[in-house]
Amino acid sequence: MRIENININGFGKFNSYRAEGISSNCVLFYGPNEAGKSTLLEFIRIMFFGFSKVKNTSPKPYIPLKGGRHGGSLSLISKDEKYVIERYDTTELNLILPTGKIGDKHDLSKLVGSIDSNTFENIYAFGLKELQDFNTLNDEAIQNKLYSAGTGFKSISISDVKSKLNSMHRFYYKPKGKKPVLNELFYKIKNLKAQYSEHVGKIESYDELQTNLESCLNEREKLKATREDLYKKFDFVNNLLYVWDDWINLVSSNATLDNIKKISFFCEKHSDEITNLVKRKEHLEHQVEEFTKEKQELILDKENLLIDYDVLDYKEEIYQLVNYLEKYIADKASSKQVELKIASEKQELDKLLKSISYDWNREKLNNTDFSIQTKEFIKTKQLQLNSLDNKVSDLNSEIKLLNENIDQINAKLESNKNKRKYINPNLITVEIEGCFEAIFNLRTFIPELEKLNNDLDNWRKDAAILNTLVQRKNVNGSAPVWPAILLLIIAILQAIYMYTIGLLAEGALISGILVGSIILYIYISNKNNSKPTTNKSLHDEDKKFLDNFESPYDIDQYITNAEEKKKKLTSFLKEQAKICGFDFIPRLSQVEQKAKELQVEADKSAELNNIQLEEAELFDENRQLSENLREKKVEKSNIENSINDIIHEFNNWLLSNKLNTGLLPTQVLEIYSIIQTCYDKNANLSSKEEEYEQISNSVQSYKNKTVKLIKDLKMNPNQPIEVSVRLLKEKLDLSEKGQAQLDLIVSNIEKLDKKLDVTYSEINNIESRINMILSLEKVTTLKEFRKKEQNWIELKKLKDEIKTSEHRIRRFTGNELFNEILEKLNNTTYGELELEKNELKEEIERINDMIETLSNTIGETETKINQLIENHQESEIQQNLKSVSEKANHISRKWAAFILAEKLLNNAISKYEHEHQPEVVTDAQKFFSIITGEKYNRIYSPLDSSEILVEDCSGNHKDIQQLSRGTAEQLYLSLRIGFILHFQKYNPSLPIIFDDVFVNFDNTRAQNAFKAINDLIKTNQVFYFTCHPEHVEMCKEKIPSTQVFELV
Amino acid sequence: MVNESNSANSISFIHAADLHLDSPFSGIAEINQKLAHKLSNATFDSFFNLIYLAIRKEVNFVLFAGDIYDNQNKSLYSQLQFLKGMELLNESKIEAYIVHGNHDPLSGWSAHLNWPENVHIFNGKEPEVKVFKSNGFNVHIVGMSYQEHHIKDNLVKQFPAKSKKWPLTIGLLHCSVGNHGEHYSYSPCTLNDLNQLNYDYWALGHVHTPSILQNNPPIIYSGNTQGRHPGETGERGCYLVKMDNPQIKYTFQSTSTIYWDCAELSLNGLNSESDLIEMLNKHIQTVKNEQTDKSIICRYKLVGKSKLSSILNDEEVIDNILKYFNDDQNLDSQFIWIDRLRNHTKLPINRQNIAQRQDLLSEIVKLVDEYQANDDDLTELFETVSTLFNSNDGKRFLQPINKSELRTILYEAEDIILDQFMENDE
Repeated sequence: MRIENININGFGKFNSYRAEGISSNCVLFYGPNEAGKSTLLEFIRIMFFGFSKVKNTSPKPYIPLKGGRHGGSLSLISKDEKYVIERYDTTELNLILPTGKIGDKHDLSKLVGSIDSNTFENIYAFGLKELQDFNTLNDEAIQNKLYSAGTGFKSISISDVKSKLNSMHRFYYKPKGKKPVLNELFYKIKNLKAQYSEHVGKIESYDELQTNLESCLNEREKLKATREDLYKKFDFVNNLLYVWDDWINLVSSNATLDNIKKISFFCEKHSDEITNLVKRKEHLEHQVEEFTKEKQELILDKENLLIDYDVLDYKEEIYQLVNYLEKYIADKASSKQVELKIASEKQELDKLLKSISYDWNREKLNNTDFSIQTKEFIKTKQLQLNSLDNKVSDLNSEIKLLNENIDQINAKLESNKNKRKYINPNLITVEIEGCFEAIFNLRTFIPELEKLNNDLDNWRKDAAILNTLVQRKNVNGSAPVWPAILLLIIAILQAIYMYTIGLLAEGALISGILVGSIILYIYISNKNNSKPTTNKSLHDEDKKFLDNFESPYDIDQYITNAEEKKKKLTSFLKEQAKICGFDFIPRLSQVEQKAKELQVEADKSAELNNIQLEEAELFDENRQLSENLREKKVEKSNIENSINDIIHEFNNWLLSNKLNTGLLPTQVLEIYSIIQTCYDKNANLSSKEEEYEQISNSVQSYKNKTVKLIKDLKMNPNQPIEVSVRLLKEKLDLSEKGQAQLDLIVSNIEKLDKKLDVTYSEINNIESRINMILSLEKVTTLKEFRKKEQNWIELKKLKDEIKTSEHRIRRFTGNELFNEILEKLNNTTYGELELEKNELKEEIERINDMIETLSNTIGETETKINQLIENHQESEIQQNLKSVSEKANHISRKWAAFILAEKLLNNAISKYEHEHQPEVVTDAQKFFSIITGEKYNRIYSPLDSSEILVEDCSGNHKDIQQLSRGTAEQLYLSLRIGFILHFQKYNPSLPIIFDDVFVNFDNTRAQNAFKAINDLIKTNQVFYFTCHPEHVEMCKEKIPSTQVFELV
Repeated sequence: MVNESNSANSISFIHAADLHLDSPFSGIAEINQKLAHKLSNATFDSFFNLIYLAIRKEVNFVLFAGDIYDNQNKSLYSQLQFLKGMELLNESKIEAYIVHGNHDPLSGWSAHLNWPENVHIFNGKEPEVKVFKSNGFNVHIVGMSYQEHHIKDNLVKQFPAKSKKWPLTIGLLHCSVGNHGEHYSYSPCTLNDLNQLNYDYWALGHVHTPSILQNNPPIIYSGNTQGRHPGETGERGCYLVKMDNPQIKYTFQSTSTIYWDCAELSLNGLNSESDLIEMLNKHIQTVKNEQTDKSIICRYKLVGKSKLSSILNDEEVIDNILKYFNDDQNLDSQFIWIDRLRNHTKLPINRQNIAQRQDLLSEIVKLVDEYQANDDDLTELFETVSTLFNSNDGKRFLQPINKSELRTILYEAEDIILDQFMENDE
């Protein structure tokens, strides 16, 4: 493969750079430093293998410094077919195949084979740096470098890889030592196994422990049984001791019993009964004493009572007086009040009556009609009068308002009258308007007149000239004048019309247009009616002048027409001026002045009109108001008449009712209310008088009754009635009280007598019963009875004691053993029993100790068994062991992978050396011989050594260290070339790029190197970059087909 | 022995096997104390799940078809725990019928324990018939234990055929029906052997994966109650069987507390460690959502071609990733523990291209191919690795490498070399 064209769009310092028509296999790029040689090398690499995806570089490498798209294209020839590779930074590969179709990465890989960017960089392209690096390496490193080249990877050496593999498998395992991972794991496994074994051993003691536990439990049961028996014996002895006192009691009681007289019969109930009866009797006797004493006291009280029977006879009357005493007192007090009240009311009534009329009295009052109908009549009249008065009042207000309005109108009229003084009454609006019209016409046509005058003057001059110039001129006919006049009239009329409707400007415009038309018409018609002739003898200016006129008649006609027009216009303007008050045709400034004056007058005229209009309105209004005023007054008069009629009618009524005439209904109603009041007072007064009479009678009656009673009872009559009544009451109360007490005493005495009877009777019964009991018990006296009773109690007590003692003894011994126990007790002493008890106690304690010891042993054994049960460590140990073993197996596989990797690498290197090295060396030594000028003919490396040796022509062997730097570089260069040649036996032959690698060679060696390249180009296209001009010459000399491209 | 039951016309029972109490979890390389404790209790936890299931479902009896313990010298702790379970069943008046298997033959050591009256252990000399009496009918259970560890004879041949007087008959045996690659053949037999006896149900043990060999009559391996290594993934438990003469219904019930999740995860397209962690997180979350009541132990094989391949060759990187996931786990409650991440990824390189390059790397690839092709050449490699595997410790503690494994390791060695050369030049 060879590159035919290089096309750089933008890459580093290159912009739109082309190296085209590369036909040679030796291409030399010459340029000074920083001309872009390395950039070019990189460009070629990128075209083949793409932009490297180098992350985080800033700026991106080889960005176009001079603009252009970052990239370009290469044209290639491979197997006589043309390919184009195009790449840009931002786009995908564009590969144009020989067929013209677009290829892809797959097609490109066919071109470059398995070579990738690294391989290309390492093998096919190298510069001085690689040579210089190589110079510092030892043999093995060189070998490795070679093999690194052989791997196509330059960033890691084989020795590094070998070293890493070795360290990794040693990290995992060494036959000796503790630190490697596996060694450590083995150690752990051993420990865990030992722990597990120990644990399993402990578990096997479980059965033995169980057996021990059972035997201890059995023995303890036996001891417990023995202890139980001893406890029983102990209890027996203890019980004997416990019942010893009872037994003694039993024996003594029996002995005493024998000594007591036996009583065959005694009823215990009798004892209680007699006791109760005696008690009861004593109690009753005590009661008798008390009753008797009480009775005597009552009799004494009876004798001390005081009772007035006479007062008691008049009891009813006294009660009556007492009951009515309050009323008497009240009546007595109220009669005075009533009397006073009657007096004051009489006075008030008289006063009120007098207020109605001087001769009014109660009699008259009673005869007056105070009916409802009367009151209604009065109210009706009152309402009527009120209504009419209100109407009159409203009418007065309206009349007042009307008068005010009329006054206002009159004031306004007066004001307008004053205003009119200052306005000329002779102003005639129409005249003013006429003047405005005239002014307008003056404004419009005065300038026209002036213009006409000017034209006329000019035309006259022209006519004079014309006449002198043109004598041959024939003026034919004349155009009709009437169209012009018509247009003129139209112009005037429309101007007036426009002015009237307020479109003055538009009117002026239209007028101007029409006037212009007139002029144009005149001009054209004159022109058409004359035949223009030319005089050859005229000057050109004259000819031009004549050309303006068809004939002399033209200008005359102009003049004539203009004069006529002027005449008319002047006449018209004079008329207009006259209207405006001018005697002559004024100047425009005068016209304007006039217009202003007229405007003022027009305003005044308008104002006058307004005033007149207003006055008319006011007059109408004034008239209207006056009319209203008159009507109101008439109405008011009618109402007043009605009022008078009503008053008259009412007076008649007053008279008939003996009231003062002249009173108004309102006044009468007021009086009416007073009369009503008097009437009420009169009635009240009457009732008060009746009441007074009643009270007086009542008081008197009471007095009489009281006096009579006092007299009958012979009491003091001089006391006040009230006091006497109270005294009577007191006496009566005393007597009544005494009577009541007497009754009570008598009653109590009777009750006491009854109680005494009952008590005596009961006492007799008790005595009878006591006697009966005594006879039953066969005793005569109570004393005997008590003695018998005492004996009986004692007997009973002894028997109880005997019974109790027996019961206690039986309780401990049981009925079956009772006699035996008694016998035993009978045959032993307390001391003997005590001794036996102690012995048994000691024995029991001894057995308890033994049981306790056994219990401890049992507890310990159970604890051990529980520990075995609960100790689950064996499972965890087993699990750990399993896990560690797993890990060990896993790591062992990893170790195996690394150690096998090391072996593989070594084997591969060895094989590579054996199989590939000879070819590489053979190829290399050929170049080395050429480069060194056949000074060195052979390169070789012993199989069992990593040395690289060279042999000179004399057969001397040297290793690399013995070579000069330049020769060593040449050696490496040769080796590299040899490797390239060997490599591309199985790969496409890409272009080789040398970047000024001969710079350290002397001339001879450099020439020889170029010579060697001449051989190389048979198989590969070679690019050589240099900045040395001598190398250019050398190359061209040695390789005539060299194509040189200069980089600037 | 005759037992009474309250059920009328139907009975229900639990069929379980291969408890392997106290069996350690294998396949776990990195373990801490807490995890060790958790795992060591896993078989017991699953056993008690089974017991409580039986109590909740109020079954009539429980069948244990062998390998209750993991070792013929049964650990004391496991025996006592099993005793505790039996006592619980006894309190609920549930019978237990037990045959022993190859892992726990009768000849092994057993502690002297007082078994409650609901426990019925079949002897190892000949098949026994034990009758479970219910209100409506009797159930005859025919079983036989392993006397010794290795039973190569077909014990089924010794079993009696179903009698006409036996309305319902259940066979209980630890055996190998047909060929099961994962287990040694103990008491080998065939389906035909079992069918010939005309039993209504065969409760088998020995195969750890729950399997229904036949539906009518049911011939079932209940499988083990707890998976103990990565090969025992999936649900583990027992069967709840209801016999409503003549209908028989059986449903699988999960009892395991720890679930194994083993998967191959492809790293194709992943470029960074964070991508890997995100992918792992997603996968773990999926598994977690499926197994809401179990703890999970994960083992993943990373495959595919990725730039991460060389990074993942570093064990420290793998350890850090594992630490990242595992450190946050609360082992006292439901947890997810990634035990292992095996890197089987490769750099995105074309091996064939390398082979064609005619450089050192191509030589390596060719060498590997030569070794792979020739068994004799492997001998040389066996010698290389023998420094470890034939050492005293290696022989005692390591599993030997076979040819298949060596071939795999050889490829790994090749990858190591290629990674070394290529990882720095990307």
